[in-house]
Amino acid sequence: MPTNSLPRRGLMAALPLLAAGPAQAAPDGSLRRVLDAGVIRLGVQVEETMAARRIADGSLRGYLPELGRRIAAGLGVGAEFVPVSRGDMLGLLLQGQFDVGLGGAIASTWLAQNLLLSEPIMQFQLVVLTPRNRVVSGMTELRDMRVGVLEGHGFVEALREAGLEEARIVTHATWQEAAAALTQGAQQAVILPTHHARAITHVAPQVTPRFGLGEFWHCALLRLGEHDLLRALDVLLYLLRQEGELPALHRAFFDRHLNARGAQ
Amino acid sequence: MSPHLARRRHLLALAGGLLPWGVQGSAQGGAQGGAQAVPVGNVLRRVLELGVLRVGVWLDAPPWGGFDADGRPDGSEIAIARLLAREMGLRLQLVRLGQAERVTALLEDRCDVLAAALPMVASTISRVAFSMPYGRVTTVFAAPSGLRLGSTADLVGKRVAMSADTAAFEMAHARMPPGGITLFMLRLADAMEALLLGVADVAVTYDWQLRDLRLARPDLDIRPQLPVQSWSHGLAAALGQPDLLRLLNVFIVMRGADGSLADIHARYFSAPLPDMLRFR
Repeated sequence: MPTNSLPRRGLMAALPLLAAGPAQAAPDGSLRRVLDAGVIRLGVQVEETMAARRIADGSLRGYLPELGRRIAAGLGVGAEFVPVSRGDMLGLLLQGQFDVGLGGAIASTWLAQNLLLSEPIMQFQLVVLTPRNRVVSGMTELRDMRVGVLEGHGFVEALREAGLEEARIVTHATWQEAAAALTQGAQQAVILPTHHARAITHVAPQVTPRFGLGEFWHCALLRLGEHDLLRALDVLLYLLRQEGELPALHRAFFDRHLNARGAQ
Repeated sequence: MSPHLARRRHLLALAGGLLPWGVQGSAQGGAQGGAQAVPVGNVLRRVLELGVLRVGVWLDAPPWGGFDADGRPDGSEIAIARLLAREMGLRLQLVRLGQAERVTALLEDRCDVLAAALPMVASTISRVAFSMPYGRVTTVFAAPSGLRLGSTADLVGKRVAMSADTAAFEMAHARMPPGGITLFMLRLADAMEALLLGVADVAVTYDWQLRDLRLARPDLDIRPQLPVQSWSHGLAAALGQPDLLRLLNVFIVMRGADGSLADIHARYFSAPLPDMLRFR
């Protein structure tokens, strides 16, 4: 049993009384489910970047697992991580494979039609990478190029808004595949989130970032209707932000600020 | 994390999650007075299934809602409604509403969302669920600088023009002292015109209208002298639709952060978004 279970049990005991008022929302059971289980199952997209990577003993390291552990500690439960492959986050979450998804989909209105989005947990740019001998400085110069991006509705949507024709976009399942396509000349440019771009430049120094396409966010993802758990997450994220822990964690892994205001 | 900090977070997070009067608790209260809410189930699910988003708009309130030169609905709220529908990949159906029927239309399920400059005031926040605010309106008593208005008591004996067609009317009229002379105008522009023509001593108007006047006619010496009221506005949904409300808030945050809302504000109000409504 978690060491701070007394206040939790006290609040749990008070729950039926608190919910008894006629004008009050009925609990939806999502938070109670997690507390009763004593563990929160967190889906994390693992792509061998600073966001999340697997180490030799099989455990997860990186920003998202660190944040997940803090969320679990704040709720007074254990953290159980479910590694998720690119593109599987939404489906697995809807299937109930985990309680909360961390990362794995760019926050957007489209995404919010299918899932609940928490306060932002991670901020990044989409960065244009090219070989060092191919200098580009703006979107117009990408018009005649084949451009690689990572799979996902959010990426394609973001690029379409930025003015890149879909026909020229080639999608990749992993950043390693995108890096290979770029270094082998299959594409002249790739557009990836900052942390993926950093991973590519680490393994392929002949490639360099050119410019960014604006700010994007990841949020914690929950199933529609699970507002009790969402509110608890938002309060935790608010506290982590106010006390400086979330910004410090974000800076430590990504060397940049997390400064978006959330949807609470 | 220290045990103390962890426990504090734990308690506060649980409070946020378990207490029914939490962040979205107000969205669960019943309608008070006027029309009763029609039970409609999950509006977001229905909207997605039908592929149509019905947005209630007020087209008699430029620059929030009106018509362009070709007679098509136009205004800052219309622009936001169009952006929302486009982002959701839905067909937009604008539902034209009168000022007084905005809340009722939502309660009677004649629209899914309001983008109708509905003020966030006591009479509305108890009946609908508001998104985060993205607009702010201030109404003022305006007069030439030669007429000093230190308080509403200075309105005694003054002719005060106000349009009965504006949200400011009720608030301004309620603040009129005995002995103040209210001149009822049909349209917002008429109140200012009455002031400029000397028919009225004071006009009730919006801060943005005064700013526009100063830009167009810098020679005129009309100043905001007494504030009437300020209020915020945002999108609104029926009570008890937390999934939809969350989506609206995500939309506003995303479009606030990327500057889309500021662009719309600049386009229709010729001014930057107020600081308090900026998201970054």
